[in-house]
Amino acid sequence: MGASTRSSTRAAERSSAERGRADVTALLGAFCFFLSAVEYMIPKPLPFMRLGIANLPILLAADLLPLPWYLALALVKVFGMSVISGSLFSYVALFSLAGTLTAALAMWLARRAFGRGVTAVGVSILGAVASNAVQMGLARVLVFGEAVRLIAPPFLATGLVTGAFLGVFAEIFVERSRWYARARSQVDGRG
Amino acid sequence: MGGARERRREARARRRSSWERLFPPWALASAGAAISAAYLFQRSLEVRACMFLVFLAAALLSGKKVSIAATLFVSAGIVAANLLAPVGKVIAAIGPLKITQTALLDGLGKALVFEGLVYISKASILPGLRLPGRFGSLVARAFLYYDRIVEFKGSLKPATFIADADSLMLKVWDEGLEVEDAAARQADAEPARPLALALLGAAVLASYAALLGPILLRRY
Repeated sequence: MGASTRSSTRAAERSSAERGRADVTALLGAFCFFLSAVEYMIPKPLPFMRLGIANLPILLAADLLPLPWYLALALVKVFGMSVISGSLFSYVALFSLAGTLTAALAMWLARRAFGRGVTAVGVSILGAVASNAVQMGLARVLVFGEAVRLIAPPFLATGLVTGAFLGVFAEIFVERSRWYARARSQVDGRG
Repeated sequence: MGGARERRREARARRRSSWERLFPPWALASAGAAISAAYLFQRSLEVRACMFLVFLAAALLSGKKVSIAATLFVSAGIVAANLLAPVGKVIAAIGPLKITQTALLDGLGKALVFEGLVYISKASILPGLRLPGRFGSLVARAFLYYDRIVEFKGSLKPATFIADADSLMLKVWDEGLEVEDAAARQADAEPARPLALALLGAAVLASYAALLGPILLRRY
């Protein structure tokens, strides 16, 4: 095989992998919107207090996407959800942006640092608690002041429980899902 | 009872459709962003309260879902939380809780900002809003997939949730994205309406006049 043929084959593989990553990012982003709509129907005491089920696709993507695409997914989630709920210019979007980016980075770093040494449950709990802690910090500065310490314990406990629940779900989904297996090969440029 | 609710829903849908026909999404979002910034930096509680009422009216006119009860509940929570840390002159007492002036005004100001930004956002963000560039096209693709997910004919049952979710992902994935986002392209291509632009320009000017007017008056 000639050098130019090899180079054009590599370029085609790269382009196919890029297309695959864009597709996986868009589909997972769409799932974030869908899960966010489901979460919207669950009553909550404060508008920015979320169970975090819309973070499930981000948890799944931690093993699937390289960092730039992974962060793009987090931003797609925040922007899309803010457009759907009409909260783009409100503190709600700011809470969502801070919480989502923190959770995404915490989960990605945990995966890269510990690999399979930490389960999806551990990664998910870490993401949920980090996200809730940052949101509490923002709530202290922007809305509640010192009184935030009163709502912090139930808020962080909720993160712990929902994080564990999402982690278990993600673990089983990754093991059984045919879509996930196909998405993984497409992202790697093998699909 | 059910009839009245149905009529209210229909009226809201009509308002929403008129609002979406009147304003191009990009112009409305830009005006919303500019007004949000003016509102955020507004220091006067009275002006902030007036702007809040205008935002509430705009959100109602836009046909978006507005819950006064939720607004009152959240605002009461924010004010109460701020009252827990007493600051300033004591103006009343409810049992052991001392109501202090500065804490009360701070709480009211924060509640107005929090809820006001929610309403201006509701009024100024239309579903047809699209961003330019690579990120914009990624978001647009995600919205196309979202439409497919919402239209999915199968069901997600609790007992077989993982298998059902997997089937849904596979189906949406296999269909691909052949369909062009005609609605979005049409919205982007639509010429801006002069009346809409004049209204939005006036709203932005008014919000900045309310912000900068008192400062300029004091100076000159």
